[in-house]
This record gives sequence, structure tokens and C-alpha cells, in this order.
Amino acid sequence: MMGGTPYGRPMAMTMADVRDGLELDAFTMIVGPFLPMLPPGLQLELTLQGDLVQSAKVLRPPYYEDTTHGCDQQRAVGLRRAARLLELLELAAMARRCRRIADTRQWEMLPSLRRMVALSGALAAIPRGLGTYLGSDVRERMMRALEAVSGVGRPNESDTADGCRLVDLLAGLEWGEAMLVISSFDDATLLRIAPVRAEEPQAHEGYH
Amino acid sequence: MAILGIFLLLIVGIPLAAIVDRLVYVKIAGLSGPALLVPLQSAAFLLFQQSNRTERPDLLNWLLAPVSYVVLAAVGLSVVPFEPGFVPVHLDVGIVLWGMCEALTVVVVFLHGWSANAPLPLIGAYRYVAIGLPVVLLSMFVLIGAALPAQSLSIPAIVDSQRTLINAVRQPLGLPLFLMLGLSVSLRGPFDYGDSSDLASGTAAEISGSARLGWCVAKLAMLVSFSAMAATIFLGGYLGLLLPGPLWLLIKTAAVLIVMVVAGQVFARTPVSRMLTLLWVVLLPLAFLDLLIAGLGAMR
Repeated sequence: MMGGTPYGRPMAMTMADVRDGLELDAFTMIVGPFLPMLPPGLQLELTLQGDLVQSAKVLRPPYYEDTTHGCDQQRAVGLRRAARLLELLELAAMARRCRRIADTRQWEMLPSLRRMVALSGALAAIPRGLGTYLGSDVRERMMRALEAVSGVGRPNESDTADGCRLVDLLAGLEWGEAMLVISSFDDATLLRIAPVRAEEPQAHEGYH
Repeated sequence: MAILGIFLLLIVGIPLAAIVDRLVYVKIAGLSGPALLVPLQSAAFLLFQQSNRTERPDLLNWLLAPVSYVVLAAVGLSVVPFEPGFVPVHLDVGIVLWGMCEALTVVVVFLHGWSANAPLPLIGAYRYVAIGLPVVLLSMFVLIGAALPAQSLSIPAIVDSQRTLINAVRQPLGLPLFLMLGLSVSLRGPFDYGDSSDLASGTAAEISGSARLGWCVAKLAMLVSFSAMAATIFLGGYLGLLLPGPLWLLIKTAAVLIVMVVAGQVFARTPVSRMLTLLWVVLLPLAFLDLLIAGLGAMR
């Protein structure tokens, strides 16, 4: 007999692989709501095969930071998101600089930060087309966050988007790429594409 | 006496490396204020912080991993000559011993992630093996390229062969490729796949307190050891004008260390699958090319 939940933990079971045909034990874990590399509040149930995300489920939406109070705050929120992306790219010092600009609102320091980021090869480090949503990928979203332009929304962003969900974007991605994709969305978009689904009936209790 | 030299270099080198690391961080982050004491303060904080335990860890390996890491750094350092005739451990195949230390570092980092018995460290551990092995391969070609002109695997002989021309010039691709190995064995910046930030510091995600301090010190020890090795193999080690040999070695080691720390903080890390492709498709062929250049140069 295989499977089940011995000692309250689901047994690891193999699953058809989405990458290279190598069937590894699938492992289901809950990440969040407070992990340094995730947007605060977001809680996900990830089914992993090694470091590959097979499927994801949103358990708790991220906190929404209200940015309607002014464009300065909007810029700051965007910059903090960019800082998280920089941290994911192992650029901790630049991320710190980015957060400082956001906290002190010294926007005039932004061009020098952008130059540093460009020289670091951060853009080349992010695979092209990663996490493409409404025509923009992680690269583009990071650059836009670093430009810290204020302005509410973009014309092609609407509530009636194409029904694309975050969990669909994550499936099949390697862990690091998945973290980049999650952190690249602004709060409003993330809330929209990461709805908490009503609990689905657990047809296969214990089989993850 | 000579063995004391290793410990002295590590004891002085580790805090200095931590300070350089902090200074570079402060510079890039645009912070102000004194930075010299911060590493010491963080160390004291970690020392008195409670140590974390996971459920059913492999305690023996968890404790042994940082210790073995430091030991590997010290063993690697033991074959570095301080001046002619003054080598802590005289080995005819010194460079092979260093190669062994590189390869075993992959094992130690893996064990560190494995023994926590937690998902994020484990992912970090496997990921580090996937990246660490090709990087070690890369360095093997580069090291053979350095041994060819000396016609010896002994490190004093390799230093001696650089009297006319240092290996960094003779073998232009060698030093940059070797520095990548350094970033990998000391878990830094663009080659930090073991303790990476997307895994909440990977193999170190579940450690705190003195265990974390030990791991950080071990990483710095490896950084110091690598810097001394790179200075010896590619920059002529103790060779130099006017100043005494050991001083030249220290200056060159410090220079390599600073380059490593800066490189670790200014270059971005790419996702693991891209780095694998980059390593096998671009960097390893470059290492072959480097070996070819070194071989042809040695035949002349």
C-alpha cells in the first residue's frame, strides 16, 4: 500500500513530470504568509517536484497596500517591490539602496540606482518571456518598477483581463523563477490574479 | 611554526573579510555611518541568539558541516607557500589537494542543507550540487593550465614558474574562470546557489544563533583560503620586488578578496537552469580553450 498520511504527513508520491520526464516524489508544502521572498500576506500551497513547481494554490491573498494617497506613495510601493526582485537576484546591497530611496523619497537618486542595476546584468539574468502576463514579462515589470513612474494602472489593465491566474503562471517553473514571477506583480494585479478559490472537494485525501 | 601561519592568516583574514564585505555593502547601499563594528556586532548578536532546531535533523552532520567547511579551507591553505622554502605542508601534488578541497566543499554544503531536514535547505543543497560540480570541473581545467608551464603539480613550483610571467597574463581566461569557482565555493553573489535569497538563504534557512555564526565564519574562511590560492596560482604568490615575500602574498590575497567581495555584490544571479546552460555550453568550452592556450604556450 502506498500513499496515505502517516503521522499526519502526506506520503510523497511520484507524479508525471512537466520538465524532463524524470519522475520524482512530489512534495506539497505551504509557503507564506511571511517569507522574505514573497509579498507579505500571500500564502500558497505548492506541490513541488524537486525545485520545480508542479501546481500551486492560493490559500491567502497578499495584503493590499493602499496607493491612492498620492503618487509619492505609489512610487515608494513600486520601489519596494523592485527591491524584493533585486534581493531575489542576490543584489542585497542594491535592494537596500532601493528601499532607502523609497523610504526617504529621494527620487533624484534613482538614475544612479538604475545604472547600477543595468551594470549588474540583472536584466540578462531574468529569462526573457518569464511570467508573461498581458504582454509584459518579469524583466519589463521590474524595469517599470525601477522607473518608479506614478500613474494609476495602464490602459490594457482591466478587471476583465483574460482570466489568467497566478497559479497557471507558476506551474512548470523552477523555484527561483516562480519567486521572481510572484514578486514582479504589483499589489492590485496580484490580488486580481491570485483569488482564493473556494475549497475544492478533496477527492483524493492524502494524495498530493 | 608554518602551521601557525595558516591559523594566523585565517584568524586575521576572516574578520577582515567580514569588514570588507560590510564596507562594500555600505558603499553600494549608499548608507552612511561607521561600518567597521557592524560585523562584530552581528557576530555578537548571533552568538547570544537562541539556536534553532528543526524536527528530526541529522544533528551530527548539521554540526559537522561548518566544521568541515573550515577544515577544508585550512587544508587548502596549507599548501600555499609564504616564501621560498616556507610551505606549511610540502606536497608534490599540492594543487591536487586544493582540487580535493573544492570538490569536498560541494559535499559539505550539500550535507549542511540535507541535515536540516527541511524543504528550503534541501532544495538549496541539491541545487548547489548541480551548479557546484560543473564549476569545480571548470577550475580543474584552469588549474591544469597553470600546472603545465611549471611542469609540476607542486604549488611552490607553480609560483616559481611565474618569475618571468604571471599566470594571469599567460593564461588570460584562467583567473576570471577561477574567480567564478571562488564565488561558488564561498557561496557568494552570482554563484550562490546553496544559500540563495530566493530560498530564504537556502541551506542556512533553518539555522540561527551560534550555528549561523559558525556557518558565516566558515564561508569567510573559504573565501580567505581561496583568495590566497588564487593569488598564489595566478598572481605569483610571494614573488615581488622590494617587499618581503609573505607581505606580497598578503597584499595579493587582499586584492583578490576585495575583487571577490565586490563581484559578489554587484553581479546578479540568474535562475539555476540558465546558469547550468551557461556553465556547460559557454564556460566549460571556454575552460577548454584556456587549457589549449596554456598548453600551446607551454610547448613553445
